[in-house]
Amino acid sequence: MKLLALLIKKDLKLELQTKESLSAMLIFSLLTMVSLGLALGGEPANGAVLSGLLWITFLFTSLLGLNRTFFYEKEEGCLEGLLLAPIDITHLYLSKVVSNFIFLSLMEAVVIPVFLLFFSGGSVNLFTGGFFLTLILANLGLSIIGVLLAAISMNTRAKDLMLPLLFIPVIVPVLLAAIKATNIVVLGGETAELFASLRLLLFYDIIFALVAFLTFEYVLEE
Amino acid sequence: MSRDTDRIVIEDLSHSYGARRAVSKVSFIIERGDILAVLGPNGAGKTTLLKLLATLLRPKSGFISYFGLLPVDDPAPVKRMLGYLAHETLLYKDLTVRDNLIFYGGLYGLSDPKGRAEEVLEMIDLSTRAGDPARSLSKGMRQRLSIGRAILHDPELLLLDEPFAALDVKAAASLKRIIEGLRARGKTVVFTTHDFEGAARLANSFLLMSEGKVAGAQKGPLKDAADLKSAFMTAAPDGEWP
Repeated sequence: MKLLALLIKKDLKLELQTKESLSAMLIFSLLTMVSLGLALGGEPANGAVLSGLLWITFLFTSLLGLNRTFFYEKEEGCLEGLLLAPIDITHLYLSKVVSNFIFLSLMEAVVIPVFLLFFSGGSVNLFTGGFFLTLILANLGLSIIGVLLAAISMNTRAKDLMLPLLFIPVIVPVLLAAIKATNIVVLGGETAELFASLRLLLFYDIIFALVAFLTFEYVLEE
Repeated sequence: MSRDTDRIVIEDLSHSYGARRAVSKVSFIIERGDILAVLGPNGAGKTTLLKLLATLLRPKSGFISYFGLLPVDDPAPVKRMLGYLAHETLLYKDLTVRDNLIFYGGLYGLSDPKGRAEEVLEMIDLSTRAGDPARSLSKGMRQRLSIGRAILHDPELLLLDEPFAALDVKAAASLKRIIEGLRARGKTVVFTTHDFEGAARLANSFLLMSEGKVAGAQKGPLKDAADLKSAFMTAAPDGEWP
């Protein structure tokens, strides 16, 4: 735990110092919202469309953060510094998942109220337990899968192109489950249906976390 | 498989990048307390050899025993005894000089990373810049900080890849002092270089690499670097010597 805290603290300190990921994510998500708003001609979005727009915004915004996940580790060969240390390298993976989860959640905390105001005129209330659970599980999914794929793509020549190409197809089940769960919250569906979507999110998170734990060390090998 | 608690044994070590063989069936022994200079022309396999010694690369065949320990058995104790200075600084440029050392101290599980960071800052003469981001340091200062990072956990074996290449006079003198201090304390140092004069002054053991293989070796301090150079250049006449 001490090691994990040390690695997360380092990521947060670097972000606090530069504010590069978080500010880029915020600006990008706000610009996406404006573009979507213009595409809808200023009309409020209905429940199903609203959920889709919200998660598409989060998906593309998360890609920005994920692309910078290992930026500092690659900048001056710091990844070698971490690989040299007598640590279990899966801590690095976990720390990156937590850092991404934090950045994503902070961005969402700002974007969701603006989004609701923009697309529903404040008539939709997303601040429910069901939606918070959806956010947590979907953010975990985006981070768990995204960090593993960011590690795979960081050593490829076209890493900025490679990550979206790998990430978007793999993340589709998370995206669909998150949209469905949000729809249920917005439109007031059955609780059992909501739990089915949440279970799917949890299942996907666990499967990919296991895959990442088993493969991460080998992914980092030169 | 030979094991020895006072030696580093490298046996039949090979590594390839795809089809290109960078290190081929290399075998040699480093005694505890040795200062070994690995010499060789560009592309001889010196950096790959050092990365293999640093456990950053997995050998395709052969093995390295570090004072009786094998990294395949348990990598952590081996990693704890290694310090490595790479071509890159391995520093987080947006963290302060002090925070870089404290962070790495934490990774190595030091009991008092802050205290040790201050000690090392004194040693590398960067105490006055401790609160500045590493980004703001000159190239020579950054190299000094890298050296500080490499010796932070007081390693038994210090691996230095072209350590004098980017150093200013002050940093070179500081590094020499550090290496001599390590030698006096019985630590082992392996460094790669093109500089025969510098190697002859500092090392007591020499290894020539050429085309991924050991082309020659000499034990014991040298009187004349020119002799070493001509002997080694004869051993690897086709190498691109600087």
